[in-house]
Amino acid sequence: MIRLEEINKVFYKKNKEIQALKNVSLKIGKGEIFGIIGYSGSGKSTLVRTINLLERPTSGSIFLSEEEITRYSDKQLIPFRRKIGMIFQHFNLLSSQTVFANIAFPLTLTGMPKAQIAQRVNELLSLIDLSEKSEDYPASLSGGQKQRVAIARALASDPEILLCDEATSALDPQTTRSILSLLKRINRELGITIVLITHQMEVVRAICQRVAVISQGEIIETNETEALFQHAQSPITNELLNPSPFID
Amino acid sequence: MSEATFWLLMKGTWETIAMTFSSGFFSFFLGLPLGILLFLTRDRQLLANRSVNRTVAFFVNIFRSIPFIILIVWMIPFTRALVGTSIGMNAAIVPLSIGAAPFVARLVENCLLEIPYGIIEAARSMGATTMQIVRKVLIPEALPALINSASLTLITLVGYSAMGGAVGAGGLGHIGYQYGYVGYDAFIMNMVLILLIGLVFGIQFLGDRLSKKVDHRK
Repeated sequence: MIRLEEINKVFYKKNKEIQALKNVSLKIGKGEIFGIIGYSGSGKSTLVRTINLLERPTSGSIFLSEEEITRYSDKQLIPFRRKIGMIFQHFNLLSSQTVFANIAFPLTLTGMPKAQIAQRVNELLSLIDLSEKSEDYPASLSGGQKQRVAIARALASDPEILLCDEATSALDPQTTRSILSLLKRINRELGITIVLITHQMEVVRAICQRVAVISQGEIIETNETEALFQHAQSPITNELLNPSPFID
Repeated sequence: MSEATFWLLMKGTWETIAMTFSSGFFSFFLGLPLGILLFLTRDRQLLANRSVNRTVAFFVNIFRSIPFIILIVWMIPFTRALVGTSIGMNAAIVPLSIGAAPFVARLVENCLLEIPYGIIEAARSMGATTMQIVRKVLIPEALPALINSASLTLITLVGYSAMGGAVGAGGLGHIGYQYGYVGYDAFIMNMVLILLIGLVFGIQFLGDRLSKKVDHRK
């Protein structure tokens, strides 16, 4: 479904070269829930953004269902981006639009007829169980509700892939659980492939089938979630598994 | 107050309002696209392009540094070519619009900078084109701030138009100058002041109300 080959990404900040990703290769299967875990600054956010080319890699190729999307221009990418939904840590909803209009947003971009949009949005509102908030503005919603609206928006154009960028990091444990179970349900019922990046081990453990550990721009370990928990190979993975909150 | 004075002040008020609002309209007509261009061509933005950004910023800064009273005189040949005369209300609208447009461009750029980058990124991830992002994300999200900028611009233009009165632009500025300063009629001068203050308060009040009405951030 998703294949990354030898991805490198170099940033220049004040003429200093920063290598955000080093020779990253990954294969993610159709219908999988795949986790990428790492500390902040490890390059995981950059990595997830290369999948829909919000960040273009400096070198390397990305294949979606055997189509090499790294060869396309931004304009040619638009139909591919529509097949990849994305949700974010800070939700990124339009503050000036109602819940309904936020979910409808990706559909209005394609010029879908209004009646059809309304039908689709209402379906999604009942999927996320927020039909009664349809005409409210995001400012009046709780964090968990905002993320559910963001999920509905990401699903509006029937994507094959859902990218989650620290989607639960701004939420409390209870809300995190409800968002994760919604993601799991979406994966099961709609067969959508989910790529989830996080620094929270418990998130990976709760829903990911496989997981890659990233550190300083390199994938240092990839394994089935249970296997990773039982015998982690690298010291960084061990540290992520057993975080020590003590300060000297 | 004699009837003649009353109608004189009414006519002046109307001219000031007409000048302020029509040059406000034209300055946004010019300044809004310029401000959007300044924003989009900044580093790491959608159309990041250092040379375009610097060129636009250069001209914006030049026009912002010309004192308005000098801009009016300097632009006379251009104004005459455009509206056929360099005296009166229609003639004043030309330098007023050109003078305020770069100011508007900077205000618009600042309004757009307040939008969290993540919202633009989310729109890109949904396959929005740059034009769709401008129309459906940037302008609606910045609307409350843009309305505040419009009030600020209109109030600045009330002041500018009064300055233009000194060179034949008409309006309250002209009356204040002619009857107040040249003729030393304290009553007319004070009436002009009161009317100008009322106009500024009115614009601020309506602007604040409108801005609050379209703001759904809290």
